[in-house]
Amino acid sequence: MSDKPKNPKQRIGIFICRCGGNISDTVDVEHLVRHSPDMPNVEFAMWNSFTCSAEGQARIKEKIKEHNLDSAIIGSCTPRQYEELFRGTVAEAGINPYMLEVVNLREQCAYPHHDEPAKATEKATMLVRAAVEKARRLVPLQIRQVQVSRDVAIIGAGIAGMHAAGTLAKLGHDVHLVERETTVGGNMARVVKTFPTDDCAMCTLSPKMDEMTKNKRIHLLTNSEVVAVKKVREGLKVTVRRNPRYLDEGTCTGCGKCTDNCPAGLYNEYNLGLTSVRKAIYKPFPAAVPNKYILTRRGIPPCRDACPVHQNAQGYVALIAAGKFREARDVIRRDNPLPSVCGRVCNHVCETECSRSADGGAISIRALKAFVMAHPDNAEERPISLPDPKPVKVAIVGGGPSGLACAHDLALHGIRSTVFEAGDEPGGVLSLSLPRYRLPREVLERDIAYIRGLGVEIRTGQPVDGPRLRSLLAEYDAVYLAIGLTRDKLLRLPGHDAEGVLLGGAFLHEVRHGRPSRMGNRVLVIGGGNVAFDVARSAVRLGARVEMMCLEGPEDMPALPDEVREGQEEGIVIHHRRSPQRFEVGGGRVTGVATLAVDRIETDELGRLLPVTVPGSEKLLEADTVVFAIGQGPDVEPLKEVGFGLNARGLIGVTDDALHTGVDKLYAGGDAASGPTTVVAAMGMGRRAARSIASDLGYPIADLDVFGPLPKVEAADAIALGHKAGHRTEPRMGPEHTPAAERVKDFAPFESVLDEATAVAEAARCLQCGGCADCRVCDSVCEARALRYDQKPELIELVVGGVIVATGFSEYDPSRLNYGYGRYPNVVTQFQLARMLDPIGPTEGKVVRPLDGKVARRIVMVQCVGSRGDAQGNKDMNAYCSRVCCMVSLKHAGLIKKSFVPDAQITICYIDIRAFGKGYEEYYDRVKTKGVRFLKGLPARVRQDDATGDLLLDVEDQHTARRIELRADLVVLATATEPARGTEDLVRMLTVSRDESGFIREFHPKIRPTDSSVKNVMVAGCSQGPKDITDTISQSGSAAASLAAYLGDGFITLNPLVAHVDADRCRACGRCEESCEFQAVVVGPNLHAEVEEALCEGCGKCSVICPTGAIRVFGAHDEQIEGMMEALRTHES
Amino acid sequence: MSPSRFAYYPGCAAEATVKEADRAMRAIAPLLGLELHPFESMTCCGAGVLHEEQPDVSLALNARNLAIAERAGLDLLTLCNTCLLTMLKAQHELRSNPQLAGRINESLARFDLRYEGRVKVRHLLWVLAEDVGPEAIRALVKKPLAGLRIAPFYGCHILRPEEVLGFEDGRDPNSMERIIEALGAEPVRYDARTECCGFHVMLVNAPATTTMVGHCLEGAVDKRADVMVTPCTLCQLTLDSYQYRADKTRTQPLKLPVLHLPQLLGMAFGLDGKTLGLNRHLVAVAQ
Amino acid sequence: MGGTARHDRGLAGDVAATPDGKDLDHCIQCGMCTATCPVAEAVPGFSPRQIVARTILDLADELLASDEIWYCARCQQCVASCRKNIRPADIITAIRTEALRRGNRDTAGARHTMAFLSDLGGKGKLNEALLTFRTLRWSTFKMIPYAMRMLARGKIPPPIVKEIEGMDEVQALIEEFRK
Repeated sequence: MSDKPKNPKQRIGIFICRCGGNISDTVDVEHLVRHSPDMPNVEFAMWNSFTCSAEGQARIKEKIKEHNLDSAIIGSCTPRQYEELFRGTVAEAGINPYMLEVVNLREQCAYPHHDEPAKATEKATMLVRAAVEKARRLVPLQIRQVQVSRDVAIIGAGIAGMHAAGTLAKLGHDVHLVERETTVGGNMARVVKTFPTDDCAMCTLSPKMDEMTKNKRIHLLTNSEVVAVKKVREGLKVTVRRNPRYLDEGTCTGCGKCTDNCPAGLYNEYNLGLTSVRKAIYKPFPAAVPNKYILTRRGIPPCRDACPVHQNAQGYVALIAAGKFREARDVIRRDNPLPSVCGRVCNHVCETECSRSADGGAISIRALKAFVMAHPDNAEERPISLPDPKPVKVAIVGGGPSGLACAHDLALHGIRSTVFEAGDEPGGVLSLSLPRYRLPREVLERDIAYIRGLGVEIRTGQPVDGPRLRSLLAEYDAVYLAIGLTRDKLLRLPGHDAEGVLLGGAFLHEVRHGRPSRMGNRVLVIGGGNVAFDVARSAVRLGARVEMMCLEGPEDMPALPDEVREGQEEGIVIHHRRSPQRFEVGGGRVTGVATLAVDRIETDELGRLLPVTVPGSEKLLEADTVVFAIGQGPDVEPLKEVGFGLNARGLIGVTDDALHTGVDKLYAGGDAASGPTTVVAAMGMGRRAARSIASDLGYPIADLDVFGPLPKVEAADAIALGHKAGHRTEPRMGPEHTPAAERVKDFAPFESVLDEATAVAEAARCLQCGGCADCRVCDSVCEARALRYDQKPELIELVVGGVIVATGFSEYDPSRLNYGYGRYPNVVTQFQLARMLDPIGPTEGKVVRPLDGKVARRIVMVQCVGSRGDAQGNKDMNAYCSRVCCMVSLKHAGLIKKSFVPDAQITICYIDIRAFGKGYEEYYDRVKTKGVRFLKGLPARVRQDDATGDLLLDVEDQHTARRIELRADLVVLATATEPARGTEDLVRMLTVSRDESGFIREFHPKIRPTDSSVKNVMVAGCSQGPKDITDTISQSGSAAASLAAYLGDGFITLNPLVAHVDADRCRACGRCEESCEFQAVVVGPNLHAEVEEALCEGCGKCSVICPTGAIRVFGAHDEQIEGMMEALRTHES
Repeated sequence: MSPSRFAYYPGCAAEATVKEADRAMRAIAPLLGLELHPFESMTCCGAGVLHEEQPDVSLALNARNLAIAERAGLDLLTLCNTCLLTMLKAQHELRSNPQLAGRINESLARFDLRYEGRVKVRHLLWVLAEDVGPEAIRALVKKPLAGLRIAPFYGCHILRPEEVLGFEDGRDPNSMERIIEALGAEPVRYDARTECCGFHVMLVNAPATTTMVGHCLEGAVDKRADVMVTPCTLCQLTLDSYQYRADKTRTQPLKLPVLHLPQLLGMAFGLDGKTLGLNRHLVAVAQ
Repeated sequence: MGGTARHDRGLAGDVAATPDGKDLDHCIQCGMCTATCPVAEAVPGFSPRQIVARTILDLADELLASDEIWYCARCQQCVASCRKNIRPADIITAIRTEALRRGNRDTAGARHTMAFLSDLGGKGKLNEALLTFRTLRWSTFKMIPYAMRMLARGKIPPPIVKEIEGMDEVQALIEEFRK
């Protein structure tokens, strides 16, 4: 047990408060006073009626002097409220204010035990005894002051934040105003008119908004979020992330040309959707402050994310929808060296990933590209100005997609290259192997011509062998090896050398010049890939009867689904899961293939397929021609001597992502390095090679990093936002195909190019997943050159003395209720109705049915939507009353009758009309005289009459006790006011507490309504609870005043009840430092812990964890607490 | 599939008035791999009505029934929505009032019964939608009901209150639709599919029941339904037998046959009308 | 069984004292129960909201002897849509319990309910054949056309119900737990 009291001669006085009966009605104060003197060191005891009153305090001071007391105990109500006051009282009487102990006789004795006075009195006696034991161990404490910053941060620039900012600026504080949105104004900027005067909201708001940029003491940060708050000696360090506008605020003149030309229409947050969309680059409303535009970039659209060349599909699709076909072509060309080709033969992973796949069908992206490239507007290529040629030259071996892509990108950056193509025409696989019905010659030639137009030299008939390659390496600064796959694989089965056994690649080469000589009339193609289908479908066009066999089943065969479907349409029979065993030969010519059924396919470590066959399942497939299309390999034999490595799959080995081969200056890519892929994947590697080569040669190609840290957009989000922007689930529109019977007659392309109307309509289905389509049209029209597409978020650190939270509210989402919101377009919220009433709003001030734009004459308003639910936890609703909704509905009903639809029949369904403010009941009365119907009773659900789009509501009119059915054009929901989204994070950072509804808890609901639980954080507006504009203004004024009062001249008195260190006992183990969540304790240079009093909260963690008891908290020393506990333990009743 | 075994509790209606439901159920059970074990010792659940006069008696008798199933180590399967809700509410009460539950168990102990809350109370619809699954059902179809427009009628006590039932969204359920599709037919969507047939006021306020029956049936007829199907024996009884009364308030009769869920499955599985008791309907079923 | 109120608030107190009726006083008379009630649509004047309001006002005499407290079809629509989770249908159940406890037995609804206890106490099962007569007494004749149709389809339940096994257990439980 702990030490003796500090000072045996100590003289303690006890002052018990009756609290005007609050305490004395239950606790026997006389008893307390009577028994006090027999407690150790207690010199004097008395009771008061109102200790907190001036008279009560005077009495205490007088007695302290009279009895020459050196410490005091006051038994009254909660110290939380009065301790500070009483410390002052005793100080005035000349005692150190920390020689005082307050006992809570009201909240801890009288109130909880009012039904058992005896027990309450006993508890009180115990607590007083304990207090005496503590008082006997108290020590006088020094009071220190620190200087803090007088700057303040206000979070949220709605009407509450702006008013507080203006006030504090006038009081001489520098105000950092942080707003998440792109403009100040908050929700008030949406409400159009304000009750009870029907003033124009914007007219009263604009001057305040302007002040936020004009006032020199206000530092406005829009489009910015608080990401961290740290307690520091000067107050708080607030870290703000300023999100990019993607334009330079200083340069932007707010002219608006960008918006006029932007092709991407998005959900209009300001107008809450309804019938309006806004552009990706925009300004929310004309009066927005600052008067700057902003580009909405949600993330990487799935189409672009999936594409090997990162083709900006959303960009050109948006431009097609806007009828800008030339600009669309330019966007395509930006990423795609072979656009016309891709328009025909790309395997379009973009469409596979398209968000619309789950919403009516993927956009026909490939066909749209073909449309753009074929459009008459684009017959002429735009002359492009190339940069000055660099003094280097590159050789590219292989004129296929990869080689051409590499040459293209090098050329665009001033690096000349020569392409060596073995074949007799450029294009590699594109010209040699792809059948014309898939890729018409002129389409390919167009892309080739363009690339030649960039100064690329393409030499055909130039096979490159080892010696040639070595000389190229000597002659050129770099060589890109992209020789593709040209060696056909075949299975050396019995009879494979018979007449009529052909190889797919060679077959396709021949087909270009007509019917292959050795081809018969009954063709069997072995293989299930795209090449196999090229062979088979070509053979069909040559009049043969064609069958195919492959190891895989329909679900896992490698060919594109389109190829399979179209092939079958053309009469090709596919034998699935069969493995060839031997060739049947008659008269030297093959007559068929003996096959076994495949049970399953295993793969070896190299990914090669090893079919497991079913014994005894042999089946003969007859044919006079068998074509192997089971894959191809690179023809590397002649090149080997140069010394690059081959990987296990027999492909050219590259040593890194930069496509180096290990041989100096030699790079490799395309299918020869990657194995069989797709045209676009090969192009992707070519572009990568170009970048690698360019940077090795010292002329790096810098691609504009548009997306920075942004994530890929999720389809679900894109669909949700798209539908809010007015998109519906419309079906996909694709190009037309010549019927199979027709198209098999020749090699003519069978896919039509989209007509303009269809293309524009199809493009208009695009949900604009990424927000901004990155078409960069805005840049081309911005005379100020303000766009900064690669702008990144920046972090700003503010050191402030205090913070005001004014984050406002978000609207409750009623879609979870049974009112059809989000399902029936004619169900809207009061906020959406407010937007309709705005002359510059989505309907230009008309009250209409969003479904069909007809004027809404029958309007039903439903109150308390999401408010006044079950406190026990009705998950769908909030327990509280949202306070303003009654007045909002009255206002809108009155306005509609007065100026919008005078003959409208408006019914307000309510539980209670709460018109609580000054002049509000009169306003209610005025609205009633305008002929608005008030129906006491709420509907439980809304149904839609699909025939008319009318809405049906069953409701009981309680005044007439009748249940009636209402029919409405428009149902308007008065939705609850909820804490703004994101409040919870902010609250955590600021360590202020929230109430059960999620609003910020005020220090005291009655007497300190704008202080939070943290001394230098105040709260204003709806972040504290639902309230109207009038109350918000008064409250934010009060919050500003309390913060100014707290900061005063910048000198803050510190609470001395903090940790302190006994240097001799400290072992500098550092546990206290780790345990302190306020970074208030550090083990200093002189090897013992030191406490930064300004940061210490006196929580005591450190003293608990300290192994030697060196660090302790004033007012909570072990012996003080043990003394109290001992008193309680030894108390006998 | 390996048979899953259930304590079979068809409910009073299926044992007396609408026997065809019970017959159809017994006919399809083996096909679905369900093994049904009836218990002669189980009482009527009291339909929540007994609860009105004697809440504790109602609770005790339901505890007894459930304990009998637990003793046999079986979950319980019923064809009646009201039995379902009554028994689930009983379980809910027994959980939330351990003291009363304790007293009940003391008395049950005398008959060497004990309710521990292990038994799961299931409705045929839930077993079909969850345990068997639409895929397995589709596999059993012999005579696909292609071209048939079927209006699902859920009935109240299998949907509400969600805190007690909680199988699917009480406002927008879809288990019936999924099964109807599995049978090759087209589910008809109409507002009244989750509304009340009026069975529980049939005797006390017949006119009310008549109006409610009319409302439910019209909803389906307006959406051109050929037939209605319900998982609840009481709903079927009401919608079938009160239909002629609803007709009286209309210019032409509704003529909407109302099937028990097991009957519909039986038809698709190729069982004959006799076995399924299709001849026992007041509104004739075209076969 | 006492025929009078056990709580100073009369009917309101008695109802609020039962598990079914415990949330009575949370009602804010929003009327969504009546708005969603199918019986209210079919029977003019029937209103769960009003029944709750009259209970709170302790209008026991007019309420407990009335037929309308027996009109609720227990469809649970009100329970599902009640913003305050007071479960109006359960409150009506509590009112029915109280009506019977106070001896209001001369309504079809009361008779219908009481039939259950006697049937379960007798054979352990419901006697559907006799239930109609028990409930409607002499006005059963109104049901004759209905009965004929049912008869035609063999749907008249047997007047004799087979007793369940272990009836002694059931009777013991009833004796022990009835109030």
